[in-house]
Order: sequence, then C-alpha cells, then structure tokens
Amino acid sequence: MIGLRNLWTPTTFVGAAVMAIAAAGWHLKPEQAPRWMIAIVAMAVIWIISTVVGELWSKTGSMKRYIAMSASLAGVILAVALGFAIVDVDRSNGHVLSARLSGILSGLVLAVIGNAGPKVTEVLKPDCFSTVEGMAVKRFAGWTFVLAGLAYALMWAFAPIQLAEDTSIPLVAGALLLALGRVLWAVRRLTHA
Amino acid sequence: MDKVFRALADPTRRKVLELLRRGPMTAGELCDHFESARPTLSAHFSVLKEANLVETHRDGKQIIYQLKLSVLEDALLGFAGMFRLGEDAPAPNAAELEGKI
Repeated sequence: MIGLRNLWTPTTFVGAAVMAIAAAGWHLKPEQAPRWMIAIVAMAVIWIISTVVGELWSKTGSMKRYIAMSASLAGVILAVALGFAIVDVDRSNGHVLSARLSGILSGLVLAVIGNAGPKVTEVLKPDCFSTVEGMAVKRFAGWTFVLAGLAYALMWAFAPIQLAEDTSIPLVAGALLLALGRVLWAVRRLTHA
Repeated sequence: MDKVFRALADPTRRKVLELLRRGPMTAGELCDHFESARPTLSAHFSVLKEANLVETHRDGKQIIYQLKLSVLEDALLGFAGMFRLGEDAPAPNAAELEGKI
C-alpha cells in the first residue's frame, strides 16, 4: 500500500504546482477567474480520485503499487493539461508561459519515468531483462531518458522559445534512438553468443 | 528515501551493490567476497532489501539477490563511493544493524 502518511509529499508537490500554474494564469487572464477556480477544483478532485482508487488497488504487491502510482501520475497530467486548456494563453501575442510550463512538465515526466525504469522488475520477469545484459540495457535507457528529460525541461525553462521549439523534439528523438540502438546491440550480442 | 541514504552510507553495503552490478548472486557467493561474519552480512542484506535496493528470489534452498536501483539511486551510489561515505566509521555488528532497521 502507498500509505496515507506517504501521500503528504506528492500531495504537497501537486498542490504547489497547481497553485503556481493558477497564479500565473490568474495574472495573465484575471477576467477568467471563475474558470480558474473550476480548473483548480477539477485538478484536486482528479488527484484525490486517482489516489484513493490507487490506494484501494494496492492492497498487495508492488506491481499494483506501480499501477496505482501510474494512474495517479496520469490523473495529474490530465489535470494539468486541463489547466493549460483553460488558461487559453495566446502564443501568437507573445505569451509563451503555457508552452514553457507544458515543456517543463513533459521533460520532468520523461525524467521521472526514466528514473523508475531500471527499478521496475516485477512486470518483466522472468524474461531476458533479468539477465546481466538486460539489466545493463535498462540502466542505459534509464540514464538516457533521465538526462534527456532534464535537458528538455531546462531547455523549455531557460532557452529562447524558438531554440526550445527547434531542439526539444530532436533531443527526445535522439534519446529514443540511443535507447533503441542499445536494445538492438544487446539483442545482437545475445543472439550471436 | 531515508532508508536509501542509510543503506548507501555503509561501504560494505555499497560493495554488495557493486558486486551485484555483475549480475544476480546467491547469498553464499556474496559472502565469499567479505571477511565479515555471515550474520553481519545477512543484516547488511536486510538493510538493502528494506531500502528496496535489491530484490530476492528463492531458487531451491538458495536465495538469489538481484540489483534494483533507480537512476537516482544509481547516481547516489556513485557519489557515496566517490566521497567514501562512512569509511571512517567503525563497522557495526549484526545486532546494531538489526536495531537500525
């Protein structure tokens, strides 16, 4: 079980992120304050539902815990996406906050997924990923996605918007190709062994 | 995270993790690399398992240990080794280790 005590940290993080987005949107579009209230409440409700459902699912076993955490994360992403849709920032007028925030969030999600990747073993056993070569592949892919995710987030946070738009997709595509290349190399080594 | 930091702060436990990088090992194979008593090492293994840094499978009478590190934990392991954390401290015995869990 996740445990209600352990929910304080993610709840605080989500609450702070939601409030930051809300404050930014309120500053940009004060006339849409009622819509902002709905968005904030919707995010909180989605988070609570996904967390409670996850808690009910995760009575036993760590695989269920991963599913529960994934469902919670998906709920948060959907909620934040809803928030961005309601902000309705017009990028053509030079307001790039929405693009930057969504880019930072995407990069952080990629980094979080990459970080957890090498640790997930339950769903992969007892196939080739439990071998030494398989563990090396997972480690390489994990590091690649974490570094790419952090670079992606930093790019959207600090680089000029045009540079971020031009380089972010090649950055993630490059990480995917690197990971895929490592998988193919491992498969080649295993089949020729 | 507190359990992870505590687990990585000990050089013996870091050496266990480094050995497991080579692949899954039985408890006996791991013990062969150390001069410590088996109960002490078993306590170290328990600390690592408690911190979710290793996982175990039973194969007959043997327990096989396998590495289970996230990227962040992998990086922390590298930093802890680089700065030689805990190497000046006296080695705890099994009873002290059990008390820490």
